[in-house]
Amino acid sequence: MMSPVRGPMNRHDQTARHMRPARLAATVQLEGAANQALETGRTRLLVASLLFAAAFLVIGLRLLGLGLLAPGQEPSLAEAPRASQHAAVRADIVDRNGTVLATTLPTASLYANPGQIRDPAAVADRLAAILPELSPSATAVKLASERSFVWLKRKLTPREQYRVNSLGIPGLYFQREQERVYPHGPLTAHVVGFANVDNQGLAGIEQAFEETLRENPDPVQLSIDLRVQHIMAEELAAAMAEFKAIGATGLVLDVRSGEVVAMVSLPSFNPEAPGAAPNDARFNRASLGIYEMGSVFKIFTTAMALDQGAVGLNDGFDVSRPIRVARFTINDFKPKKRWLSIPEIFIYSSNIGTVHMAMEAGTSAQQAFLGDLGLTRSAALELPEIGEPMLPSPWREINTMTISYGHGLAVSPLQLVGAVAAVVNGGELKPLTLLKRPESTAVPGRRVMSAETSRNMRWMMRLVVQHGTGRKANAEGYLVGGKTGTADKLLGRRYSDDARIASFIGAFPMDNPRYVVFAMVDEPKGTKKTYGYATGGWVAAPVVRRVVERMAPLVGIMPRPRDEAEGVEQLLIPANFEGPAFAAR
Amino acid sequence: MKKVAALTWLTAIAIAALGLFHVKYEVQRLEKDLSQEHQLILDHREAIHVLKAEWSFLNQPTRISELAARHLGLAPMIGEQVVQLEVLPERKERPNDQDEAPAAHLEATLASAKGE
Repeated sequence: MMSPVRGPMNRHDQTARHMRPARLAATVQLEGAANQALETGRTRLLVASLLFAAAFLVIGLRLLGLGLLAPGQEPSLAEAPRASQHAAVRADIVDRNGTVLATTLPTASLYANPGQIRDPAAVADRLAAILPELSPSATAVKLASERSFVWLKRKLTPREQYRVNSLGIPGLYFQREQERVYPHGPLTAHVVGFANVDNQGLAGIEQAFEETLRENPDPVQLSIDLRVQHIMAEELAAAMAEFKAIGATGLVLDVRSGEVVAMVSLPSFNPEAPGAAPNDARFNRASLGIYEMGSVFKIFTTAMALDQGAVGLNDGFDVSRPIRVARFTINDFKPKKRWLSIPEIFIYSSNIGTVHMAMEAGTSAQQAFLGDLGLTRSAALELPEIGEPMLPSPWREINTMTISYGHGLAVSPLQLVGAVAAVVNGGELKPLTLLKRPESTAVPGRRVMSAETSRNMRWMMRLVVQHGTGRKANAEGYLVGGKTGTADKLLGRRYSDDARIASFIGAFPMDNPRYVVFAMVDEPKGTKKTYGYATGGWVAAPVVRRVVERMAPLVGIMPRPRDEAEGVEQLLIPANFEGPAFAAR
Repeated sequence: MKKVAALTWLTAIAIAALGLFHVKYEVQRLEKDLSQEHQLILDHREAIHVLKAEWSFLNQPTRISELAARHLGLAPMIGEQVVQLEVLPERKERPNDQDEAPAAHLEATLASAKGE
């Protein structure tokens, strides 16, 4: 770029002023040094101009490259807004159908800058008309203070905010805050848990998934089905009221996936004001409470005896005489006073027969079997509130006897439901979960008994509902099977006479079980309608029947017409154990 | 000749400068628009979020069942009310007015129902 300029400049030099000196220079020797300096200057100029030319060339090429050859689109300067930007504080918790169970809502808190308020008394009066909990005098004092910031009320409802805003008083301001809201309140309180004012989870899923909820904006989807949860809560509440009970708990478990579909503990509490609730209401009876379950444990004893081959289906025991061990006497609630076959022992819930079965199998077999079913260690579930089972120590023969019919070993309802699911689903113990599993994926389980034993247990449980103690659980068309349980509560070191736990654990439909339904009522009192009885069969079984009847259409289980149901039953139950003749025997 | 060249260059510089400023202001305006739109999107998202919570609240099963009891006069379904399609007996003969469009038939029924 410089070089073309040099030519004219030279010409100009020569023609205008330096013509003569230049000609002289050829003859004068001294001019050689000047000429050399000139040459050096030219060379330097050339080098510099070449450098500049190269730099401009690079810039030009780069421009061309960026303008014409740049791949893709240019990076956008302004980032698109992210979905979570407004609710980045804490993610939602939703049920299996996407219904919001816990969410974070923006809320406004009212504050004032007293320096900007002209007439504190008038402002206080007008505010008190909208926010009745603010006393005009106290507010006026606040508004007249020398400070430049005073809180008036935290977390206003949208309506309150609108009305305060429409007053148009200068000097009042809103501060945006985040508030955790539970649209379904007490219904899911024990599962979802609650968070404190700083939005830190203090119980339930809120506590267990604290980090996930904070860091991941995607909602946590639970396996709970709100509709089933509601049905269970409503029926349990009705039973509690009818039998004047102090509490109740219920669970619905998908036996194929181990998903907990409903988990209810009554009485419940409002998760938005957990401090106002008594401790008893905040206590999760389903997962944290441990109870001696009573006769429902006969499911495990019978399954164990059959699976170990300690007894066969056609064996039986004479139950006419009570069993006396040390200072204990084991007797039946409604003694049959004769020889009973194994299915009969199960159906009539004979303690004596069940103890005989357990003794045939032995203590170590019982320990191993109950351990396999997860009854001797805490249940694994995504909740911080998990009860530890209470085991006998040492586990003597007398313990084996009492545990066989559900006394002397206290477990949580959650453990029980998981174990029964394994008994009816073909013999595989599935890991329990409160999170929704993707559909159509088979959940791997651990085999704890043969499929044959599981099949036998299914029809025996069906017979309990057909002819035995669980008749009130018979939901027409759904082939419910199950087992009742009634256990006296331990008060100190003695069993109480009038405080008991009435429970029923059922599964349906029994030819191919989909759900285990458990209902337990704490300290029910007998009524005239139940002839003073407050047993599992009278109290909890009807709850399970109504829950099954109401939930089955929702979860897509078709009721069977009577003749079809009978046909299925005939296939299910061996002929010699079938029908009323067997029941009357 | 030189003057022409200088004039050309000057004009070119003026045009380039004007173009540059024009583009700059245009970009500023668009960016403002964009951020307004983003704010609007965020506002709408927040509104949707709040409405979802409200929808969930309004869908409380207890409330729905109360409303259903008050306004619908329906009772919970029992098993015997459900019949599978296969169980239904097959229709013996087709009705004669087969050609008549079903919609027209429906309209006629509705009209007669309204008239009552």
